[in-house]
Amino acid sequence: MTDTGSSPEPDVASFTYALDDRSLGFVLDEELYPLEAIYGACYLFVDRAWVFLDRPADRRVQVRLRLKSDGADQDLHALAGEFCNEVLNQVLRSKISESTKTIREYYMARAFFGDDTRASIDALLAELDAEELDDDPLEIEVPWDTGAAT
Amino acid sequence: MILTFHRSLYPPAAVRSAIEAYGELASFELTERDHETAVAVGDIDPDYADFADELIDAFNNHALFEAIKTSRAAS
Repeated sequence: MTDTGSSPEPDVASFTYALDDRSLGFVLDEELYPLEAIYGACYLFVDRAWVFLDRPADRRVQVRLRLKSDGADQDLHALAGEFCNEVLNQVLRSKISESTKTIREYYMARAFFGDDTRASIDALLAELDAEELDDDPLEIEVPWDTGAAT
Repeated sequence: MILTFHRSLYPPAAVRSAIEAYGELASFELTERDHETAVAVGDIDPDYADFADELIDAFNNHALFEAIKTSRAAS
């Protein structure tokens, strides 16, 4: 993130942003925060804030958040913090989704197109049939075995 | 007032969709440039003249929402 406001230590990478009465802006580096992650966070925030994106430089995305209703600066800071946390969350989700993509595709393909699905069902039915032929392990007498029903 | 939307963030179709949604509340004139889509906003409905800022913000949100939809559909 790039400092766009007045900070006592501008060279220190930190979570700082420009602030006016009801809006703030900060710049995200697409190398760290892919556009899809920024979009994901925006999607969750469009009902809570006015969101506008701009591109001040290559691979940089400026996010401007503006409160929808009058609120204290604290609300604005909290909103920005939540937004940036959500961007990180979206980055993590994206990385997990990418790293598990192959196994998910494998399971989906096997579930829908695997040849052994039918065989598995047949095996289960055969197992149930075999169980029905076994003696009752509890050895409870039933009338049809003793001939008492006659 | 002229709004500019960077094409890498807001596909022109997303901006057009926002213009379609808000077209009854103001006049919107779209111009496509190399890296951005410019929208000149004017003739805001007198009923909404006191809320011009909110109207513009809502227009921006709508364009962003459409951009996100387009991006997700493409991926």
